[in-house]
Amino acid sequence: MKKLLLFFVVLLAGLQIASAQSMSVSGKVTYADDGTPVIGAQVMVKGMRGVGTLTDVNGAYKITIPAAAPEKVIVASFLGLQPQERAISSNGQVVNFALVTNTQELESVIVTGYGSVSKKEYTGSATSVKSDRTKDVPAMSFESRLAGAVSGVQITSASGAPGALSSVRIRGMGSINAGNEPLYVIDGIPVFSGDANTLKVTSDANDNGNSVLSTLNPNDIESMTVIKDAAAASLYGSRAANGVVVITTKKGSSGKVRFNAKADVGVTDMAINYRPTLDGDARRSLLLLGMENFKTYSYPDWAQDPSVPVDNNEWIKDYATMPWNGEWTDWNKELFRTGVNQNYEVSASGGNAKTRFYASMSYTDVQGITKQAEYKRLTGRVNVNHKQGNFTFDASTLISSVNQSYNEEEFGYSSPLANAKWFVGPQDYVYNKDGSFNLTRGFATIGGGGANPIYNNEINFNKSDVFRSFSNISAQYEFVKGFTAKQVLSYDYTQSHNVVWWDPRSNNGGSAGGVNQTIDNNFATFVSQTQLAYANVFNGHSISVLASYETEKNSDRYLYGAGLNYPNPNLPDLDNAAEKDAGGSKSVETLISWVARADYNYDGRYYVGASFRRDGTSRLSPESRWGNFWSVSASWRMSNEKWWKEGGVNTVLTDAKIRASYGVNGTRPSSWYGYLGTFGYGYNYDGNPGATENRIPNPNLKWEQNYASNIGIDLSFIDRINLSIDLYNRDTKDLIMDKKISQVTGFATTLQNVGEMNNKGIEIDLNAIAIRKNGFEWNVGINLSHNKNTLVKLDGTQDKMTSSRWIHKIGMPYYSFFLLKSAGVDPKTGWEQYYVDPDNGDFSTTTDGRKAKKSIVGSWDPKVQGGITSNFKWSFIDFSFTFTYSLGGHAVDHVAGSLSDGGNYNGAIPASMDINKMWKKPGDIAELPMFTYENPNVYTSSRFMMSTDYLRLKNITLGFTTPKKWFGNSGFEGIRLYVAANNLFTIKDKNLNVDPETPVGGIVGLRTPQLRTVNVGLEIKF
Amino acid sequence: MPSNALPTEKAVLNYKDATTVLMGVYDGMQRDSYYGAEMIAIAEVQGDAMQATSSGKRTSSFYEMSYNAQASPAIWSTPYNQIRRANNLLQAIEAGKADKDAKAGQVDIIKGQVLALRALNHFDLVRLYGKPYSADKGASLGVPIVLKPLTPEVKSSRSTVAAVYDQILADLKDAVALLAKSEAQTPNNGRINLWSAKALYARVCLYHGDNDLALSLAKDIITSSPYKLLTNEEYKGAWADGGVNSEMMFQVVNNKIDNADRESLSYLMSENGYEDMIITKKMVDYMSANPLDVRKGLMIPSHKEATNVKLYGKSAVWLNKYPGVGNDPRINSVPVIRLSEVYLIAAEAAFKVGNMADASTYLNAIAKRNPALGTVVPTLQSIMDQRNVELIGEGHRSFDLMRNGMVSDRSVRWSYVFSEPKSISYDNTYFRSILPIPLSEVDANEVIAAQQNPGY
Repeated sequence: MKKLLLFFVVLLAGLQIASAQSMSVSGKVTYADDGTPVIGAQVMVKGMRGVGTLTDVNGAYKITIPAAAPEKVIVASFLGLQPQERAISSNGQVVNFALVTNTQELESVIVTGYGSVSKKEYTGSATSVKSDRTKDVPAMSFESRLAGAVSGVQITSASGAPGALSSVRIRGMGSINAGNEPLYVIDGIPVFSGDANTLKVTSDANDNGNSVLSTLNPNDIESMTVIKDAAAASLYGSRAANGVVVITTKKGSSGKVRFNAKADVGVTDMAINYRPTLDGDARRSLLLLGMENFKTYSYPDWAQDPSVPVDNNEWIKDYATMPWNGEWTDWNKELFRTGVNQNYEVSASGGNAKTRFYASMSYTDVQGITKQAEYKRLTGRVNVNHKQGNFTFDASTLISSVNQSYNEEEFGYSSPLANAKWFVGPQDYVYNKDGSFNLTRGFATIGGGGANPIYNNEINFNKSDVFRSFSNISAQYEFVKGFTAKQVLSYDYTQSHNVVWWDPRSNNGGSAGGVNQTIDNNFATFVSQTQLAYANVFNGHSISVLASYETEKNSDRYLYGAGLNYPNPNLPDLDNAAEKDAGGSKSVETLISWVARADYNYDGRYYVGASFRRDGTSRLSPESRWGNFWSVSASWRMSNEKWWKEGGVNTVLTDAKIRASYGVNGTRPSSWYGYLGTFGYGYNYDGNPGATENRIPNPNLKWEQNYASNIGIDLSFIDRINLSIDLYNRDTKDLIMDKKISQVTGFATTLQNVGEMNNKGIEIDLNAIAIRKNGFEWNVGINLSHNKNTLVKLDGTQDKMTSSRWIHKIGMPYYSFFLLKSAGVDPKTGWEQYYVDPDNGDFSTTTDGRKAKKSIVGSWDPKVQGGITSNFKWSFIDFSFTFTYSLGGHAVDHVAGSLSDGGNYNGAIPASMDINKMWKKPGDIAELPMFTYENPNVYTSSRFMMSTDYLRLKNITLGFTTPKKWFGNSGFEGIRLYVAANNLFTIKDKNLNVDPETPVGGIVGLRTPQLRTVNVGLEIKF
Repeated sequence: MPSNALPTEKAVLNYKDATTVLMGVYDGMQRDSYYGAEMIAIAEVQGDAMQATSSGKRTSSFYEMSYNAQASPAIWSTPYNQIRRANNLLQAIEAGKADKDAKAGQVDIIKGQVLALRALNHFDLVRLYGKPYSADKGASLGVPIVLKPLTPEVKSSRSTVAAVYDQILADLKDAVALLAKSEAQTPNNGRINLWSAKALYARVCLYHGDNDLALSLAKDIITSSPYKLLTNEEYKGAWADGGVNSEMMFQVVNNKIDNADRESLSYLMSENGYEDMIITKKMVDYMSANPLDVRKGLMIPSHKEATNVKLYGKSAVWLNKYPGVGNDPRINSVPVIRLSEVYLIAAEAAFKVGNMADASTYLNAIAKRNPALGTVVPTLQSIMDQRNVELIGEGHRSFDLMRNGMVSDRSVRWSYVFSEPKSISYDNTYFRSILPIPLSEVDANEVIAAQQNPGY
């Protein structure tokens, strides 16, 4: 880490040397742990502002103490190291400093991607997370390590399946169509995030994806900085509206080469009791009750209908016959397993004063909780840094290979979750008596296309292989003291190969004799950054200026192949198909930017900063493709005022700062060609090529604009307790919306910049060193954030839009649930009753869902969320954990509505349908309505909205490290044994039958919940 | 530019481009929200001869006619998109952009096809969303007429049913004139030619009450076109493998590499598909009383013992008109018009003008497919019965009942609980006999919002 900092701080230079009649002192500043020089460390005369120098490449300094100096004391300091003071007694004295790493300080280095700055001097709102604390926690992707550690950041995942995409929301959602994910910047280079799989087979019901971010080994990351306000984010202009996550990878340190080898292995299951179902007997009793109710109450004329059997005990055999083996089938057991994951990694780092390196390889193998869920990743990374005189050279490369295998999720007919929780019941069995697969009983009609999920998942597959190569080089030259020129080049190449196979024996593949769909996608990004920087310190003034010219080119090429009609199910490759189909195309986009930034501070008290960026993108028409983005920020560090110290406040409140920022940044349209009116091809007919207009032109399309303001205060008590409070407001305007147009035009929507959204909130971060004594160290942190999301404007004509279970209504949170408001069970009829029109004050009730009006019954957005972290270290033991929590949010069950009260007789029934709580006869005051065969009253009411309040032990690590002295001078540094776990326990609302960390928007279907993983590992350092 | 598109203004620069864009017009007909499935399915299950198998099926809401302003079929947008496709090409043709490399008359043949298709699109819209012409001589509201590509801000209003028919008839008249060339007379089941344009013209005339013109057009086709009625021996086999046969005049072609997949009409009707639509008990009973009818050969009983056989026994509830190319139930072309319908148009038009001789000739040419009937006396009922048996599954039944002021009575059906009991038996005075303008249109077009169909 320390060497990384050095890289940025060389920008600072320039000195004011005092006159003669004074004492001259010289010496070296080194790192205490390995004796290597600290380059660019500040050596100042105590009590004399602006009098000091910076160390050179060899860590050497020379300083003159003016005669007027109040104390003959010099102070050496460097970002991330604890400052040291020395009294000087004679002229010409040689004073060497060996500075010790300051762990607390390190936590608060803000890396903006265009430089780094100490948190105490930072004018914006950002949080830095070191990866150390969670390095042993099994994680596919680094984003998960932000969970609970950063206020204002909400991390959700559509699915717990390995490698699935996650969503990161920083300070709420600002966009509707142009994306809400933050920009990820790795070692200064903005990177593509999202799904490496572009093959979307719609009927395959798998859009969990294969996250490109997961191609990184999280343990190659040194730190992550989450930039939340405009101060630094505006440096990224048209991509920064949703915040920026700046990732810094590990660099080598000079000195002895250190090796680190690590292995762990663990087991995985669902973190919660996900959608429990009734067992065979309970289900049978309930179905019988439903038949009785059907005949008595809901269809009294049944006797005239020949399709209704007279004897319920005969009738029930259609739905609840005990399988041939005399046991009800437990589909949860049949379809799920305990997952196993293994992780191995080795790294080496070292170097000399000029050249340093870090190299690592890792291998991860995850066997998920279903038979098809697999994830294998191999990564390699090399980072090299070289410095000679005024010349600095850095190079890094990442190679990553991922093999992922999926099962269907959500409502796909072979989805293990959909089958276990809905489609099949305990009466359906996997195997026939003769050991062959049961392909008929129970599977013929469900959802119109049901099939034995075990059989289907055995013969079908969906696999995704991703290969990524990401290389950066940069050269930097200080041509005049204080002036630095830098050139960065980066090439990021991701190739994905996705194959979906539908076996001819399966439902999907049957009618076509087997289907193979293969897509190869190549995504390449080339980035060039040319930077010029200037930094100087004089008379208490500190100034740094940066200008950059950047170009980026993305190209995306895909090739699609399909094969149909296979001679043999064991030969799924395209070569073997009788009929073949292919497709392919290429798209390119470019971005050109000018960036400027200036920071100034006087005397460590007054700070101001400004940034400007001009972006031009090919995603917009020539008339509207250029946009300007900017920010201003300022802070006042009052604890550096004289009166602060004179007043003695500093003994308690050791550091205090208030800061404010305002800026404008944006979001580009997600479509590369959205502004262009085009005729598309491939609209073929009867064997002939066809073309048709597939997009109407939209030359006025432009960026979404995000106006972000932030006011914050940072307080530090007795150097032990840090408190930060931030208030923010985000106005996003010109939101790109699919504005509905009259369909008589032939199109339903057109993209226009019309919507507006507001997010405002508060974030509180409290960190304390609870104990630091005798090698005993305990740090705790708690953070809390509240965000209020409000939709301000839709397309300008409508004041609301409904989609699925949501209503997007002006003045309300974007994800508001729009449902019939349940009024409990009608004691007379047993049907669920609803308020007729609660929005207009009509609280009379009806049991006919068609006669009631929907109203907003809640929203997804939690009121408060955050995390609690703790690190404890004593002697050979370390122990850390993170809790995450959320209060006030809701989810709507998208499955319960479909399963309600007897509407589905063939499949599983949720355990929440408790027969004892149901209405059985007129007069019953019951919690649940009548359960009846072919229930016609199936409406999603507020009954299916659930609270997502929770507290979760997100991760926990317990480690034991052998003392260094055991190994003496053998070169062997130590062995560490650890146990680490994810999602070990969760406290949640008892009615919530799904994971409380819901997908964005809170409509929950049938996706893999968060997983509980417990790993044990061994790490060897030498 | 993406590598798979061209800017709109460069799409048609020569004759070859025009043929490519013409294929794009036909292509849209294949969509499941139009002739791929819905256009046919709605007309069938709103009638009394076919039904949805149970609630929750793709055709259930059409069967129950549980339409309201919030929940309406998506079939509004697709024909209008088709009209835009047609108008884009017509605009390019009128600007002379298709003339380069074209031989004499070739551009006319393209234009004739496009006009006929545009007419068909307007016709489908007006019979779904407007009252039958016969109900009030077209005085009530029809649909917006669109004759050129519209810009996004345009908010069209509905014309009267009469005005819409006038435009359809004008387009078809022009189409017939443009297609009156020898190159446009050979059978090509997947394209509009002179004969299929005339046949559509005859059908529209019948709906519009121009019975004389309908009769003369139909007679012209019967006497002069190359199409031949299927014999009783050929009949059953002629529907196999996609249904290309001697009387198919125009069908929307689906093949192995280009089809509506599982959303196709054939998949909805197949016991090996979604098992969505079956023949009603009423129609099964009717066919049981006519066991020698060759058309009964296209109706087959269930084979799934555990489920369908229990429900329907050995009744022939499955319509096997669309068994699929290579027996793949996903892939079958969808007929739009064929010669048998032309005979029945001739019979009905002749009957309505009192020409009983012609009515009898043309009706019995079809009715003899049931040898047990002998010579059938033309009455509205006997003509409708033949239309019902002959054209089942081809998207006519409910339109036929409504335009003739008859009742669609679905009381005799396989077990099915209607959420909307008023829809069980209805005529053209029932407000749900025409569809609501969908919410998506009403939301975006305040002009049409004020013109919603009554009752919704």
